[in-house]
Amino acid sequence: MNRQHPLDDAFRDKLQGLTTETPMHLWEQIDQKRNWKHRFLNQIRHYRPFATVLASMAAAGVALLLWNNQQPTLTAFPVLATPHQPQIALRAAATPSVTKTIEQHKETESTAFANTSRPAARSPQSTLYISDEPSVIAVPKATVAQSAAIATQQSTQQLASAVLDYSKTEANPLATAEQTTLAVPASVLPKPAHEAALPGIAAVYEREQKALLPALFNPEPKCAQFGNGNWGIYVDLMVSPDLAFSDLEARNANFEDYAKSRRETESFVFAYSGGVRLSLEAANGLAFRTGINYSQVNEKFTYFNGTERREITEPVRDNQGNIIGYDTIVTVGERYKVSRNTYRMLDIPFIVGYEMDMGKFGLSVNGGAYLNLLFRQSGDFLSPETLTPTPLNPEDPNSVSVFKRQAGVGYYGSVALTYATKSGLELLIEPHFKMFPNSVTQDQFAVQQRHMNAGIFMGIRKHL
Amino acid sequence: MRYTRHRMEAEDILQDAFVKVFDNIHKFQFKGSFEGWIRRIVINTALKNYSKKSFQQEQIGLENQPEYSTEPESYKNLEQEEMLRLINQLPEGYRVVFNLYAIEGYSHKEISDMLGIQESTSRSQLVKARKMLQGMIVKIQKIAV
Repeated sequence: MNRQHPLDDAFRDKLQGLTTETPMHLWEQIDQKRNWKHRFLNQIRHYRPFATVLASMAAAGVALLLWNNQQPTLTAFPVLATPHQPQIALRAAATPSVTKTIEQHKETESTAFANTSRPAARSPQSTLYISDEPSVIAVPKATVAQSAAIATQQSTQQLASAVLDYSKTEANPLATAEQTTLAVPASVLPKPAHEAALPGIAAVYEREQKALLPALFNPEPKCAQFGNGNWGIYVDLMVSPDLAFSDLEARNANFEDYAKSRRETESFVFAYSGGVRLSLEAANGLAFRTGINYSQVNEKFTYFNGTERREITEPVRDNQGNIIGYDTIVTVGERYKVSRNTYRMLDIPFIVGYEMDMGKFGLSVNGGAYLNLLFRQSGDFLSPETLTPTPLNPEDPNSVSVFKRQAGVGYYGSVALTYATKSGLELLIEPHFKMFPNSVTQDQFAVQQRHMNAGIFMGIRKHL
Repeated sequence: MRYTRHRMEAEDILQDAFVKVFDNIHKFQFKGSFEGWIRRIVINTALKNYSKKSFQQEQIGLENQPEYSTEPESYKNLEQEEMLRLINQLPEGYRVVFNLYAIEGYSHKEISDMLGIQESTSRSQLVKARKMLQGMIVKIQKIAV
């Protein structure tokens, strides 16, 4: 309690315990202000680092789920059956172009059935193949079958005769070779019409229906390998030597000298960063990246602690070892307090990039934000009040609360070059910069301190 | 009321401060006085409204205030409302430092930390605040006589 002046005492005695009645509407306003939205946002703020990590993980999970559920399209990955396969392998999505192809083919097919008892070979203009086995067309979709049925209705008689031929040659070994294909009756006419016209087709129909289900779950071994759709997931593991720049700016003219003293006593030594990054890359080159990044800046704090004078008195002896006098050696030196300061940051990057493929090499341009989760420091710095060394570590009982616990949001930019090796890994080199525009010191502290890093990430990239 | 010029402003500060109290009540560790904790929050909320420039600007141009000789007994005759009115007439920087030092009992070092100013600034603001208050009290006494 400060009791140096009678004026202070007089005012304190009368005003310290002074209370005024708080109006009721104020409590109602406080209650209204602390509605569910405010409370929710307050909880989010309180658990912000954990919420950010959880949100990132959830986003990555959803992205992975969507990527896994993507249906491959034939336009992107056409499937060709080999000509020697003894079955008709028609694999087509129900797209207009494919349907048209089927209809074109039907004319050829009809002609073939009319001219010979065995189905003709594949149409040269189409990707639809016809095997030696008659009357069986393998299609994956009922819609395609129906479309084909309409197209073939005009050649019902020819088809019927072909099926009759088939029923006579049912023991043909070729006829049983197509068990692993996706198959539905080639006679895609409405079932009752066939049954009426052709006694054998019912058996064929029934047999192929049984083959359909196993075939769906056991794809043909020679089936073309589908890719991952339009997205690729990569994981990057990288480390970087960094150059760190710390900007110290006085909050007002009163602290210019202090800021200057800080600049003189603190010097950069080395810095590094490293992290793991998950990239989601689209076929068009667009990439989204996130992960976790750790960076550390090491500085040297040198404080001139004044001069020190040392006097050493040594005896002077004669030849017999007797002391004949004393010499006084005076040493004057400077005393310094030297500390190693560290600033550690843990960030979550949110980066958008554009990938350019150049054969074995890949080039990408990236930019985005770094969300700082933790900002910690240790070492010493000059106290603004006494200009003497004070601990930086907030856990130290002698430290002054100077730094924020989080550095906020920073900017990130980089250009990355990758090289694909034979082992399936890509080597990565990525010059980058990172800058946090907000001061890491408390709002009322004497100086504003901002951090910026620049370095070259080196690491590996793996396609998952 | 001692940190503001108007009742409405004081109510706004009190409202913001109590929202902060409710939001951060889980952080109170029962190590000190609960009243002191709330008081600190209210004061910090009130101080947020002041710009540091006000402390520098008020240092300039008010150096040559005349010395007033007042008897300590004369302070005791002042009523609470009168004292409040006098404090509210002080420039912003003076008022804040005087409140923090004389009434709340903070040291100059604590005030300099809270306001982000130097200790010497806090001291000079206090001295000038006292001088100004003494001058106002003398005027009141002259009018009364």
